[in-house]
Amino acid sequence: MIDLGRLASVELFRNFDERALSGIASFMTAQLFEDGDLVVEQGSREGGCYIILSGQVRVFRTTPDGSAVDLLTLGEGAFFGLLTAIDGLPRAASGAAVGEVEVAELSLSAFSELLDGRSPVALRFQLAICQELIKDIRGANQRLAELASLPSHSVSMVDLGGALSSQT
Amino acid sequence: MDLPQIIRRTSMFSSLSADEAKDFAQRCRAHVIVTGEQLFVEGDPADYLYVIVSGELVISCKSPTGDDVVVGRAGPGSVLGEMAVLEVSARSATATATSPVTALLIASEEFGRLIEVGHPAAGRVLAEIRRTLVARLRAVNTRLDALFEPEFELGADLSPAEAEEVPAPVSPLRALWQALMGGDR
Repeated sequence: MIDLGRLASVELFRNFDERALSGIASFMTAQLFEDGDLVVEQGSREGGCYIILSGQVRVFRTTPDGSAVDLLTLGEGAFFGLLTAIDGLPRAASGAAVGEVEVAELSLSAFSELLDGRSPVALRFQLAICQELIKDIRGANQRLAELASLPSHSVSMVDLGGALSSQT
Repeated sequence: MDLPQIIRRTSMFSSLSADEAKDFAQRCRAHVIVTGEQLFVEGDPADYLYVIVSGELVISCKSPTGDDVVVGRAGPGSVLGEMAVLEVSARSATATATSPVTALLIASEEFGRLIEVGHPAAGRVLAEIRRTLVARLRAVNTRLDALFEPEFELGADLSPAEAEEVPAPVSPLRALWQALMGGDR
């Protein structure tokens, strides 16, 4: 059983009351990973999505030439693995445990059930997912903008127009 | 046509029952604008969500130099103004009708109530928002990816044995990006 107190501190669930939280928790299972274990693997479609209950996860991409580029390190309360759970396309990055890591896994079937559900808990979850996607888009846009501001870049702001700031 | 009828003729809401459409009609209103008119303007408070019933719009943003840059288009079934339900903020773009437009307006607090009561209309709107957000996130990830493609494939024309001796190309852009993000393999 997932500790509700821990879930309550997850930003994704900030608007959830205790009842909604225990509703969500019933869809989740706790999992432990050792240092270096892959929680999710780039290119894979396996697994569901994850919330870090304790520890850190290093997110990195293996680039076309085979080298690994660190993207960010996720800490307690972070939610990841979302995109593949939604659209079933291969994972865009890998996530490796830094030290011992405990995560709450929302399996694909539980995730789909929540996305298709009509209950108030399911709808709150669907809203939270949209908020999380917005956050991810912001992060990616920011990385693009940082790249575009580098003096030697080959990307103009015009190229970025379609990807940047299209939120309404 | 009355509002429940308009709602049920919008493909997103076609599966709502007559009662659900009637109930939803109590919580939204139809808004009609003519060609050239704006549905919302960049900088306005984001307090409504819009479901486009009919007509076409162009979405634009002001560039730092003050020009209008087109960032997208919307038509029947599009959901606009999603930021109103995702977080409190101002409009980050302007939506201008390029043909007569009928839109359903849902106040953000009303949308919150639809979620609280588990109204199916809220689920349909959220599914559409999610679909567009996922497409946007995949697109921006693809653009990030493109920046990592080696500019040319060193060794592409060589035999495997020869190719092994050629060091992997590292674009200067990636080196900079790694430095920027603090990642070094």
